[in-house]
Amino acid sequence: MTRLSARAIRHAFQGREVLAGVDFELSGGEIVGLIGPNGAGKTTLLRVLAGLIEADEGEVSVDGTAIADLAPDARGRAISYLAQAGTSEWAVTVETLVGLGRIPHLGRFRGPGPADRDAVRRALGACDVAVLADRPVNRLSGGERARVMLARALAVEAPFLLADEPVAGLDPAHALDVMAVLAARARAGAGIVVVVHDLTIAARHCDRLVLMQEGRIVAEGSPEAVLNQSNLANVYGIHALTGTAKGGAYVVPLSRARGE
Amino acid sequence: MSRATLTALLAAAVLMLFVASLAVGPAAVGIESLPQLVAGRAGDAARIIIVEVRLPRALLAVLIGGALGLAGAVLQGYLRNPLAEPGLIGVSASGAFGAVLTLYTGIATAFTLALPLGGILGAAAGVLAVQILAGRDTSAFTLILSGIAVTSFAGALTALALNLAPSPFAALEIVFWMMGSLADRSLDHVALAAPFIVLGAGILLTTGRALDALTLGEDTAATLGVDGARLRRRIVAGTALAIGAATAVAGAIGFVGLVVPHLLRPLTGHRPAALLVTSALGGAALTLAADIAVRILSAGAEIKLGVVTALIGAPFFLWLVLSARRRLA
Amino acid sequence: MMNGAATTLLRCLARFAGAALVAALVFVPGAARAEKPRRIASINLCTDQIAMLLVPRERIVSLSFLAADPASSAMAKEARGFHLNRGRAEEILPLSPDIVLAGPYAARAAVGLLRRLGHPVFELPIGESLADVPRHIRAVARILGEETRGESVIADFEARLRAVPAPPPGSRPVAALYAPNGITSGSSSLPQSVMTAAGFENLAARHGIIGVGRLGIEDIVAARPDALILARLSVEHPSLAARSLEHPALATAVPEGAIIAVPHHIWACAIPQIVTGVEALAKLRMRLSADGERR
Repeated sequence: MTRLSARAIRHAFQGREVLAGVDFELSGGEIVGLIGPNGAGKTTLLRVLAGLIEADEGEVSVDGTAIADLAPDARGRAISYLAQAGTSEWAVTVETLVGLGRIPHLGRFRGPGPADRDAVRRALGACDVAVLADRPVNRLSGGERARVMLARALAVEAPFLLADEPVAGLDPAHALDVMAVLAARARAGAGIVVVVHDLTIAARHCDRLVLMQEGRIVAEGSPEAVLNQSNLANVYGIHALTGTAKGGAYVVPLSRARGE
Repeated sequence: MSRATLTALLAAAVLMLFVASLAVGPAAVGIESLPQLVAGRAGDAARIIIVEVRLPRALLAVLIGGALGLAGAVLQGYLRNPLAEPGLIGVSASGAFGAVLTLYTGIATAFTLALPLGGILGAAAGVLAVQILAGRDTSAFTLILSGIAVTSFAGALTALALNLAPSPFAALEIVFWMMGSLADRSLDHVALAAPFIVLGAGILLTTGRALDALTLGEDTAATLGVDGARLRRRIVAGTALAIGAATAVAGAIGFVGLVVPHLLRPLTGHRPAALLVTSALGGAALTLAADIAVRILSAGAEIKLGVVTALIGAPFFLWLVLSARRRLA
Repeated sequence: MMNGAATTLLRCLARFAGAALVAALVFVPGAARAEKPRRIASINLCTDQIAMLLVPRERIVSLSFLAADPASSAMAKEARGFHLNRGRAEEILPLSPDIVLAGPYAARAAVGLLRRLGHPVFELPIGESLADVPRHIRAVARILGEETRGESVIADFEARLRAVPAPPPGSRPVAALYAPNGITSGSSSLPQSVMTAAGFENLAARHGIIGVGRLGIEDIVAARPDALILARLSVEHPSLAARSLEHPALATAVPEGAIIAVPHHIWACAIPQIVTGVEALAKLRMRLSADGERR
């Protein structure tokens, strides 16, 4: 599978229009950063792409097949979704939790096989949590838990991975770890969308940025192109210091832009 | 302890308690009669008492206890709440009302199985009401709310029936029935309840994988292929069949569905699917033990099975509170 | 009180069912045996007492535990020495009864099980009037093969009943029946039937209560009845009791000396001993009318 597309997505929620005509494309091998102010519709778009919301208008398809036409487990094998600030309801071990990512592959009666156990091992290794395999998940630190949840999403080994604020609340070291894992996954061929608020992280780790405002995509392209002063003022309402260093761009918010 | 070991231990406990259940009762027929019975050398009286009086009790204890444990484990997994129990979706209360209605109107005297049939019809009506109330929304929250609404309404109607009971004897009969009992149930009761319970349990056993996925929350579970609406239908149908029939035959037996999964959860690695079969076995064992206790303790008036399980449940909650306080301190 | 049309209808249906049941069971082949039953087990208070009246001790293998309870049974002394059961099938089966006598409530599962195992069970319905005394005795006597003895018991009962002076024509004094917690019996109940035979009108029936119901102290005080009947558990025989009333207001509700205590076992069942209640209440009625004339 190589292309995840959304066409003409419109969606209203409790009378308010949340997505007002969005076209979106994701190819394998790239990381796309979905950015924009609070309430722009980023999470809603992600959930539409994941198949959690059926949009009022428009269609999401994988290589031409609408995801609404796919069986739930086929959809689960194609698109992996990492929810924001995920927690585990039960105190299962890390290995068990990551193993849940294999459920779309298991079908009704089959239990986990050697292929599944290998996938789990690869995911644990990629996120550097293999040493925590037998630890109950309720005894993990914030950074460890974020990496474990990511490992669970990786274990699906789906061609597309949608991550909703995977680095929110993480310290800089752990944030860098998570983005590095995602980059590696993209290089291995997966198409990845991340919703991020930290513009520097978005700039330095995403191949392409999609900027949303009030339910529409207002800018799309390379980080340098999208994160210009005009967009920062008009969409985010801020003045920021921008530049490039050590192979990537940076954005440092300075002040609010008032009515310019 | 591995899951296989735990399952084997629980199965052995159920077997031992089952045999013990056949050897306990007011008549002077004890453990020595069992091998005689198998060898065909037991007297008529002993044979009738063991096969027609005690065997149905033991079979029902296994079926009902198993259903309660299993349904409790499923509901705790589905609602992601270790305090959930099978009655939450309204089936026990509406089943109880259906049975009470047959007592109140006197239909229960028409034929022996009239009362449990009334219970099953009541449970079916309750499930229908819950489905209609919960509507197309697939979230667990609306299911709980609908279940509470149906339970409250059925409870109010039952209280009304008690209030308007034609005589104190009728009222007492209703009250005693509601306390739960397996006394004097016959193989006819087993034949009536068993198909529903087995079918319902079978449906509930298919929900394991979906419950595991729900560990990550409803959204992530949906992206792993769990069809929320279909899962809820299966849970409601399975619980209604199994618990509806159980309540219809035996009255309200509480705490088994709550206590057993809760106690076994740490032994199964907290994984919901792993808890299903073990909770069924644990529930069967607990109910058999309670029913044996009923017969040992009832020197005079019969101590009701539901009372014994409640007496087990209350200290359990006490222990929960104390251990929670210790953990939070 | 909320006893309306629906309750009336249901009670009528239940009574029809009960009467039909008695008729059906009396005429079921095998129930009216060619031989008299020799091993009679009873699991109901009313059938316990009727059985004790009709057959010699050796033919009864078990009575319900209530038969020996003086609060409920008018024959508690006679019930000493019998095997007492709590209505469980497993207690009855080893006694190999050839007939089991039961009532409509409680032990329902046991009745089902016993029938399933081939034991004939006779169910006596709830008694609701004095006319049920001969009716119930005849029904049980037929089952037990003691028709002659039954007729003799009935004849004694009816003679005693006839000996009670009939109430004069005209309006009847009103009596309020009060049990702990304000429980009372309205129309279609044994207490009502006793009150009517003794010449009283039942305040509860006047209030529309059918069967068991509730009559609060306020209702009684406001109605100013002519007599107050206290239903008691622990009195040996009916007696004029002016002491230990539940509530001081009750004392003001009736004229002095117009209070009588009647033990529950007098009218718990439609058995001949109920005539003691009729006699005591009739005596009170006559005394009250004499007092009334004197004033």
